[in-house]
Amino acid sequence: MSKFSKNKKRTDPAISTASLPDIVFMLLFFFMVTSVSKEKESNLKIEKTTASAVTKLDKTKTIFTYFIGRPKNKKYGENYRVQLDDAIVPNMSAIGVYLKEKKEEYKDVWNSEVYNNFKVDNKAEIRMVKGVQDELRQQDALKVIYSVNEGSEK
Amino acid sequence: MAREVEEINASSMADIAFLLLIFFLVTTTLHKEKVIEERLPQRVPEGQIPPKVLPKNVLEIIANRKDQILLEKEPAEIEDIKEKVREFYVHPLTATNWPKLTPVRKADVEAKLKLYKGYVAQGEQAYEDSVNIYENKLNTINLVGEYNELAKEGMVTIQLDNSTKFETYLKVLDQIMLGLNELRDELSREKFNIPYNKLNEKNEEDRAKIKALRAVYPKRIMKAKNVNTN
Repeated sequence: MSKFSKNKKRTDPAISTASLPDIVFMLLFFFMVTSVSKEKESNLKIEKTTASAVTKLDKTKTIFTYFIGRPKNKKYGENYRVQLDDAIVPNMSAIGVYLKEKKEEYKDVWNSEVYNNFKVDNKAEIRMVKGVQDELRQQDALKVIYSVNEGSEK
Repeated sequence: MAREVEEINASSMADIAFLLLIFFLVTTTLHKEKVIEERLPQRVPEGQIPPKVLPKNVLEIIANRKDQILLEKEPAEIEDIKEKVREFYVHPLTATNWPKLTPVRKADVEAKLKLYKGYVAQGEQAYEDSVNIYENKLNTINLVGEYNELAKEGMVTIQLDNSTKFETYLKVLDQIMLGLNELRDELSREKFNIPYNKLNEKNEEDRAKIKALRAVYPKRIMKAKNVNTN
């Protein structure tokens, strides 16, 4: 007769799942807080250049985004086009008109807090970028950043 | 007899939370955008003639429409630029093919500062700028020690063709910044025992250090007018 009888069947108690929602909520809040919502959509095909001497973009600043690339949609043609914020611009001087309006709105911080972000396809010719930048200079918008992929390609 | 309150079944709570979690996982991106900064030159009044530059004062980089690089008049690869940039900033004081480096001595700066402060005290407002300049120099010396100052005329110039690819331009810019950051980093490690990119711009003490490092190795990039070759 052993003291520790094995007759009695031991049943595992069911694991309580009551705390599962808490864990999941914790994860949820973590992602909600740390994530940034997706960047502005572009109507142009853009393959960014890889560079290594990069800095992080401070999202708290006011940013105007210029996309330069070939249109995804054939109705805009095959040539390289410029998209400002969310519309493809008909010509370069439209950029100047737009900037002139914005310059009034942001005149106190025009050259300190306002950044002009260029997202340019790596095969685009420099004349397109230059054309946009000439418009910028006309409106004294001088802070320019180029969006790149970070990496050390060869 | 009091009616017993029925317990609400909370087991579906987890499902709801999972659903939300998956939604956020899918719709958001974690990475921050990486950028290269550049400041455009100011608009020049029409008719103004740009100043002449001596060849020894510039590091000339030319990219043609086939994206080939000419570095100081010699064909080169993009990766060669970094070394040249380093040479541009750090070379023997006697070198004749590079911009002049002037040693900045603490005693000189202090003497000059005293002199100019005296002028300002006498009401000569025009010397206020000079006072600022020498105060900055003194701050730099206090942080990184006596250094060699690159001549004002020293510039890295980039000359592009209108048909050069944007990629090439960015790679050139990247190489220049790599060379420059490497020098700043070396100095930062030597003087402050901390890598340059670990210095925090939001911290006042670090900001002074960054300013000093940038004073020793200033970013001087100039874009020449694009050419057109067909």
